[in-house]
Amino acid sequence: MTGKLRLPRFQSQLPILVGIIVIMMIFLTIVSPNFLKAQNFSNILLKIGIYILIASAANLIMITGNLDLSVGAVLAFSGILHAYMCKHGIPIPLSILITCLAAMTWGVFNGFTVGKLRIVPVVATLGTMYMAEGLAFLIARWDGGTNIMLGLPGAYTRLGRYMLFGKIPIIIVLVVIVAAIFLFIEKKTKLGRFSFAIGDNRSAAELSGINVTKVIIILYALSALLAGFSGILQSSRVGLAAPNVGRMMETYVLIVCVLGGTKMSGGRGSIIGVLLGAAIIGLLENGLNLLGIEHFYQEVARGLLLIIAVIAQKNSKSVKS
Amino acid sequence: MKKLLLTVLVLIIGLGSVFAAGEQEDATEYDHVIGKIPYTFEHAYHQSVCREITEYAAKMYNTKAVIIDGESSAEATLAAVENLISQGVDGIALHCGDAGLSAKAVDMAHAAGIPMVTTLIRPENMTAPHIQPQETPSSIYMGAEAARQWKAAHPNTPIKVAMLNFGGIEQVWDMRTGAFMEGVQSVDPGAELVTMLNGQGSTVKSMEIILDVLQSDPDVNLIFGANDEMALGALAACEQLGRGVMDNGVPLTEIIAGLDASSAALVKIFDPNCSFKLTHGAVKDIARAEVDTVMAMINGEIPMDEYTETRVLSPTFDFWNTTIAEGQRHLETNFFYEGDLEADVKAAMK
Repeated sequence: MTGKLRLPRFQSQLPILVGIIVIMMIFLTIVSPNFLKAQNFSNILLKIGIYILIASAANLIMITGNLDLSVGAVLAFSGILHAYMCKHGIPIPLSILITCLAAMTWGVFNGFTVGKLRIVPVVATLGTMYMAEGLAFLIARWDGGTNIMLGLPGAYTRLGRYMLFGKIPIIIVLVVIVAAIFLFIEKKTKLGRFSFAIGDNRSAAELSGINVTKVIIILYALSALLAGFSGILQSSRVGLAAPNVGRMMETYVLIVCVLGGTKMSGGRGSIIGVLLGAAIIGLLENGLNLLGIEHFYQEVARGLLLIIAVIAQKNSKSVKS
Repeated sequence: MKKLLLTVLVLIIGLGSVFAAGEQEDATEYDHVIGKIPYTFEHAYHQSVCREITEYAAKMYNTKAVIIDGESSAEATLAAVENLISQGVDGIALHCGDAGLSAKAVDMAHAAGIPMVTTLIRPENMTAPHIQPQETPSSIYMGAEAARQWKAAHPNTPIKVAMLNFGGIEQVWDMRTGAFMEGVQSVDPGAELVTMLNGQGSTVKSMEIILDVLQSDPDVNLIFGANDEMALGALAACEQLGRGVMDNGVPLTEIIAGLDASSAALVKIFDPNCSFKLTHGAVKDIARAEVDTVMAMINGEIPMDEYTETRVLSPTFDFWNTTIAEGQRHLETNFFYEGDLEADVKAAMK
């Protein structure tokens, strides 16, 4: 009798995640008659779509042992910038292109400070977060308010609300495409392999000839690009851009990745885990809202889920993706 | 590297000196300096209040207003109070969401001999003058009007209400959500409050929540957002589900009400085919009452440690009883609006 609490150990966290999802779905089907409907799953996917888009790249950053706290601010900055340009006569496709490039600039800056200058990622990306958020508020203010809605062209909402074949929201289609691309990157490309190598042992990766700085810059640029594109999609879907929309996004992305089994110290994680982590978050929030549970309890539930995820991670054998 | 650091240091010191000199010169031009702490700078309403306070204080009292964002956070609000006290301002106007925190802030200011006026949320201790926007009667009116319009169009459909609030601010129930429900039930006593969730004052969060709410209960037909941002989020959710529409002011799917009466809200309200139809709010009168009260305390016209309540109207704007010209006037005088509301409504309808 050692007195230690022994929890079951699994080869990987993924079976646990699938189990949690199944249990949640059974529970919600029983307690809410409106849960098991196509429209509700569309709602859930739309809710977690933005998390998945951003977490796809942010997950690879975490696999290298780094972190990106600026994703929410870059999302808000991009939404505001896109709305501002569209309002002032820049054609929507051109505005999307410029916004994506501007977002990537934040990412390259992050990559440079983290990869080249070796600044602690939390500090470096926190700095970017404040700068991007501040600029988002400034752009809104230059436009004369706290958000941009008036004067947007009629076609502004077309992208965010577009339905493929009149049935499938475009965001869901994009999520599937991006997830597939990142699955390919993770499994079949040097970028994916190098990310795991850097997360396992940065010095060893450098000694083996991997250009660590370049890899980190590319990953941060991809993360910012997806955050920026998500900002465009989100503001287009809502029909307005507000500088405060990205608040807590970094936390959600972090929870999604950690829930999905990505090790915060690096070297382990997968896009499949991200998808499952996001599904759990989506089901949890959807379920709590369907049941009309107050916000305070929702916060408690979210925190509890994160802790459970970390415990599960600790108790699963360290199997690489 | 040393040269670079030295250059940066010299630049910072130089710029700092120029800025400090400018500030000093600026302050000596005014008779007084007052501080203003808005609830959060993230909402159009609070930004406009701050702008009105700055302009009105300068014009009427030759007084400079220093604005520090309360960031809708207890810590940030208290830090802002401490900051203003250490700056030695002559008076402070505070809009805080927490009655206990407001009381603490009043005590801190009074201990430093600085008069303070509070707005909207009455402090627990009630030892300082207070500005009270008359939100409760306007919210009751909006609830009643929304219910009347729904019942006129759908006499046999029971009213089901969903609400988005801020969470944690008890007085919001008395002034906004609860008052709205009271108005609804004055028309239809059987009206049911299906759910009330925290939209966090955010359009995106509110949209996500209302999507879930309408999934859970598709029969919801009145939605109230405790600010316009949340009401706009509710509208976006309804539109995504093919709802959010009216037939020239006749409700088809639901009626949405907000609060603050901002330009974004009025553009939707005056669109005859959009289901966002009511809001209320005032900026100018509240901001001016705050300045007048602080200045009266500074000038010794009223005591700084006695509770008095200045009541300010919060006018209602709705599609059925307000003209677009009234909306235009309201936006010009309250939100520094320079556009043409009618043209903006037409553009948004396209």
